[in-house]
Amino acid sequence: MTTVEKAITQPGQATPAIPLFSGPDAPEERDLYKCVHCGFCLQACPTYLETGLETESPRGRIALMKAVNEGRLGLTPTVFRHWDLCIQCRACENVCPSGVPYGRLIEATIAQVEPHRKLTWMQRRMADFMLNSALPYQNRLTAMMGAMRLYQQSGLQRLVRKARLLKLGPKGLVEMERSLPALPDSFFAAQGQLVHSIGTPRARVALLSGCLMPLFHGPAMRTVTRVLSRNGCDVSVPAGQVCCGAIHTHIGDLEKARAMARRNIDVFTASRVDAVVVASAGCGIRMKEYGHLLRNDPAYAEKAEQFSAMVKDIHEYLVALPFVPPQGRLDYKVTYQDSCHLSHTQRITAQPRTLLRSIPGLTFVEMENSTRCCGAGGTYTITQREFSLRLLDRKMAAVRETGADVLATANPGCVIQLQYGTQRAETPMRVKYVTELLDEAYSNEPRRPPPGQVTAEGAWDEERQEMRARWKTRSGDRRRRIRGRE
Amino acid sequence: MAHEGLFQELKVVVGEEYVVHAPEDLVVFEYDGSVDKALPLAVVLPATTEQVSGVVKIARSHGVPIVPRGAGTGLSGGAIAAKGGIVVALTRMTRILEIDPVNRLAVVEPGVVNLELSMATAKYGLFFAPDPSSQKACTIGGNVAENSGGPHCLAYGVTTNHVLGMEVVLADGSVAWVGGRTRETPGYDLRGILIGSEGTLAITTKAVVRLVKLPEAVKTLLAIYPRLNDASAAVSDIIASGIVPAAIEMMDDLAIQAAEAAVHAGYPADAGAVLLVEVDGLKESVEVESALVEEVCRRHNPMEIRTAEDAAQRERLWAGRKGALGALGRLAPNYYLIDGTIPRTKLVEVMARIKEISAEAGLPIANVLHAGDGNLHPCILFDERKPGDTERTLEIGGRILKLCVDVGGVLTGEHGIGVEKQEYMPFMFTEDDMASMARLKLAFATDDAFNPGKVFPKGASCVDISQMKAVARAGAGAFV
Amino acid sequence: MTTQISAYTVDGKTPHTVLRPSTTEDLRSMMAAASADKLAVVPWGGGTKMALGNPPERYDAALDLQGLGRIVSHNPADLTATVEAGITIAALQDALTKRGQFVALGAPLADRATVGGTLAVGTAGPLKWQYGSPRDVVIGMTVVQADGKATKSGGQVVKNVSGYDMARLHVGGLGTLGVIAQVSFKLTPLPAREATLLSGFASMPQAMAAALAVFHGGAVPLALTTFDDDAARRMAMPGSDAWRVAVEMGGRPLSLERQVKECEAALRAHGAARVDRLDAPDPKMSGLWRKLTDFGWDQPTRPTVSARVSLVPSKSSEFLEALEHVPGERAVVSHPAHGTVLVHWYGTADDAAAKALSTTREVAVRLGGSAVFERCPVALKASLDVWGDARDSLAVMRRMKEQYDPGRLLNPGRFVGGI
Repeated sequence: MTTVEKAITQPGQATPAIPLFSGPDAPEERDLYKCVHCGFCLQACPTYLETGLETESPRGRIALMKAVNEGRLGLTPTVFRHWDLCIQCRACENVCPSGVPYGRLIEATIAQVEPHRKLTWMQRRMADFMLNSALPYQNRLTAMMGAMRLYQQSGLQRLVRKARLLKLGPKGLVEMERSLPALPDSFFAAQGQLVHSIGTPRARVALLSGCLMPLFHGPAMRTVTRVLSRNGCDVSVPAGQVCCGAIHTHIGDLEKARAMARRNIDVFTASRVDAVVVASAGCGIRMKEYGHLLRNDPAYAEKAEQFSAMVKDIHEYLVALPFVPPQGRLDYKVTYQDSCHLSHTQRITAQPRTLLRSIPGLTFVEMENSTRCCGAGGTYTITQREFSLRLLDRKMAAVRETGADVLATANPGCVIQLQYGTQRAETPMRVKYVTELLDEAYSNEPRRPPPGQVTAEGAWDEERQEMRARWKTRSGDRRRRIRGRE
Repeated sequence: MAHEGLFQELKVVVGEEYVVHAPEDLVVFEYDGSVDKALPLAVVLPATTEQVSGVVKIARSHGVPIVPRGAGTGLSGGAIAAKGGIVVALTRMTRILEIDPVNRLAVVEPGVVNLELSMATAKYGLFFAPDPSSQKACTIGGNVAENSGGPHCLAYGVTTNHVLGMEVVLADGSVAWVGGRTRETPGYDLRGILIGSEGTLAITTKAVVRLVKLPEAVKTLLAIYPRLNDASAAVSDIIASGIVPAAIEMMDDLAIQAAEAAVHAGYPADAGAVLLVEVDGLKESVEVESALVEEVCRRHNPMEIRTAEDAAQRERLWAGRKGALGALGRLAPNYYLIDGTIPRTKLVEVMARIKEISAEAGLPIANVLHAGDGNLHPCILFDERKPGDTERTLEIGGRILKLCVDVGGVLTGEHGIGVEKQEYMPFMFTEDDMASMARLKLAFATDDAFNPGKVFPKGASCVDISQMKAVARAGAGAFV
Repeated sequence: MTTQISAYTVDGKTPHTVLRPSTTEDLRSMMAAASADKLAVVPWGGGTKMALGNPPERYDAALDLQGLGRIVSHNPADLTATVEAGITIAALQDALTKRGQFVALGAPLADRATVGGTLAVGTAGPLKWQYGSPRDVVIGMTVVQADGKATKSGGQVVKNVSGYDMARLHVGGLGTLGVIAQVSFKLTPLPAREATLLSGFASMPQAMAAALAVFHGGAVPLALTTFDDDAARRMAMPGSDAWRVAVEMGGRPLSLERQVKECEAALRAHGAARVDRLDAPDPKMSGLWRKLTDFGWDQPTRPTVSARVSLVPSKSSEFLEALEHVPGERAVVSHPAHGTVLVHWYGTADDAAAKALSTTREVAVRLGGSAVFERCPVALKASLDVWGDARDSLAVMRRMKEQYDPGRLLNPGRFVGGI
């Protein structure tokens, strides 16, 4: 816990006895010294572009890691601050000629920092609760969000905000409350349901439900199942799956992340599927990197590698399938924000555009710097709120420049952040998942399934049922609206 | 702390948050793109010319040296505080102040990134011609200080050919214009003197740069040769044939293997050398000249020739070249990159000699070169953990540079002398030559205030290998 | 010998001695001796532009470099050449032409003007401007300093950043910091074919607009010059167009034809009354360009006073309009792509000439440019600054002189600010 304030020594003059990286999860030297500090990453880094400060650049952060690793610097709050300002968008990885695995390095580094943080008792309790008691348990999370929805919809929120009651609570509560988006009327849940394909099944896929996306964007999750089903996929949503663990790795709790990864591997490999489809970009990359996360776990290393190879991002999967181009029109002008964890880490940039461009009537316009981060980045909106907003405002300016009326993207964090951005910018623009638009285009098709491809249990049933469910209950999405089988 | 007063004064000028002196923050300013490192006393990030001037005055009054810095992508240690002092980082001065398409010029602040300028001027059909490989990150101010080149400077020229004038802060903190918006201004060409002076004479705070018309047509040709000699001879032949292509780049077998492993450019495994030639200009002449280039290339027994006409195909042909240096890490844990230039007629001879030196020393050398300019980039592959490897690497590096000078070439084509090659200066220059250069410092009255400890040899003129050892964490390298 | 010595008169001052080195080593020892004797030395090339600059403060010895006239090396396959400073531009270009190459360096009276003198003056001629200014073609230089030491910088390669770019001090330095002894150049292949379009216009604004349209158009002209009817008459050219535009283009046959076509269309679109085509090797074409280059320096066109004005290209027209009101007989040649306007006055009395020159500079400076009075009677030099103001960088320039020529031996007083 002690942080030693230590004047830096000249290169090569190490001074021991200050807290350094340690343990099997320490950033690997092999990765660290791949960086030859050429500086190609600078202009890719949103925090560097915003500040012009080397300390807030990937190269600078790696230099700090090296300095700590060599014992020239201790783990001090100043050092943490520079690492913490990293959004982990990994845009730098894309431009690095030496192939430095920056994402891996920063995750390992943040994990090293965790025990040295000076947190208040309250902060520690809150973090512990979220990470260990809430996120891993979808039912608890659902209950919490249900209560939150009640709070938002009952008028209590208005009252609380008006009376500024939250100012009485711990620091940061106001911001957290404000950043919580309006919750939808229905949640989505992984209950072992199976959504049948429309027409002859072409593939069988398992879908990651995730932790926050099914709650924040329940209806959007259902568009994913519908789009898959429309494209000939039997979609199962295995029960017992848990959060992918991205937030845990992001903030340095690798052990918990591993436990959750093991759980998901077990659940998803219990029955045979052609692919594990993920609709959230952040979860997609996390699951594609289970192999690395569990590399030192003899029981799971190989399984994790195989599992990771099966994970497919929804856009990637649809285009490879290949998807059926929709016939229904959408007369929207749409621009697309590349989610960092799709474009930088999964290198998926063409597929979402291919999907959007396939929609009849839709006009696609590119924005300037579409791959630059919107400032969301997991907990970043809370921990680095001011900075996150700076990036958001810059992003919204670029978005507005396009004159689009719909802003499409591919990750729940981005959707929430960009929706908040439209509020701040006071524009009537709507923020949508690519799959939502695709679904809308499919739903605008003449309701006559192609001859010979009729099935009783299609996605359209689900939609009808959803309408009914929404009508019946406002408190949650507990009803099993789709006949499924394990 | 001893320098609290200095920091305080600096903060008054540039603002609290733009004076960096915490040890944890300084550690990220101890390097640039090269192998050398040195910690500064403080880093200041001014936002205006007046602030730069204020900082210079304060530093001078405290007798502290000043080191100008752009993006820190340089490859000779130009931006490191070799003798401590204050690093003046110009990365907050990033405005493009004016684009004047009619007169084909732009006025920019020093922190503007090279490629950003070309992107901003593309809508007028114009671009800024110098294109160092770091152009996505490096700044115009840095280009001016180092007189940067790039693959396409074969036809277009280097930075000094594309800068009309600069506003600079001199060592006494005064602000002066050298050159201007027009081609000719009265007096000595101080502009030309300052460009390439590696930040030792003045700090650039604005630059007026020339913009060039984007070529109407571009054609790229990739010729694969079984032997290095054939490729080298082809280069000499192209130059001699009366064609000046936009770029002629070359890679040898080791570089090809590395690039192939990294980016799968599709080079045959037994290729001895690859030549990449780009011709641009009016479409009719591009047609004729690319055909001529192809004919010349064929005369030297290529295994294969590929051509590209659209941007996507061109991208593919360039992929191997651009990925080559980054990929060298796959062949060895460390490499040491050299930057000599030779007369183009000596390519065959020198390339062969480099291979011999490599064999003699038992250290592999991969070659990636701007062959059209005769600008070599031999990369000595080594492992610093092996005893003796580093010493031998440095020794070979010196021998190769000596070889370049002996055949009528020079020490550095585009990376600069900096601290990396200062001890080699006597290979090329006499005491009188260097004394004459050093007088410029007196003329600019810098009193060694700007970027001291660079360009000139430290003491005696002989190269002291043991002194160089500090430089030898040569995993570094770089992208050219 | 007196007649010979009087040939070395500069602004009315005649030296006691003429030094004639024939090797760099000669030059070195002569300078060392002059330095020991504290002799004020004026370096001479072909003597074509000795009218330029302030009168020398002192003038003991003329240093005639025409004996250093060798091509030291020409490496055609490498497109580089190293020559001694005293070789004439014409002799150098002739030798290079034989190998299908040229150096982008031109000067009036090329058969007398030397490489060293041309570089010391440092201004670009109209030819092949697209290849850059004289300073852009120099890749290496050997200089003999005021103290007699020979120093070199650069090399014989086209890409080099080893040490300071010292040659820059001497290109355009009027020999005030050292004597250029030897120069290495980068060369360019001659275009496969060349053609010139000479067109006539009814007014200056039309001609300037047409020239700018060519500059911005698809063609890549090698040279682009406009001149008024007064200049045309002095060059004994037929026709009576108020203004003319000459465009030289080069390249492979097909691309040349297209350039000529596009260029002609642009000229006509801007109101060209006629467009004539001259193709190399038509002597009329080389004749035209030689006359334009020599204008103001050869005997028939030599003016009483002249100003070399440097502007951004778009301001040339505005500048010339402002000059309309200045009385006096005048001829104008301008290189719009370069932003250079050369204004020559003829037969003007001293006070009127002084007025014309100062107005010229006023207008040039107001438009963001500058003016150097390239030809000016000695009497006027006392009251006029022939160079113009080097402003905030003059202090550094003065210190340069102190560093490289502390005894003020080389061309003392002749340069900017009396350096």
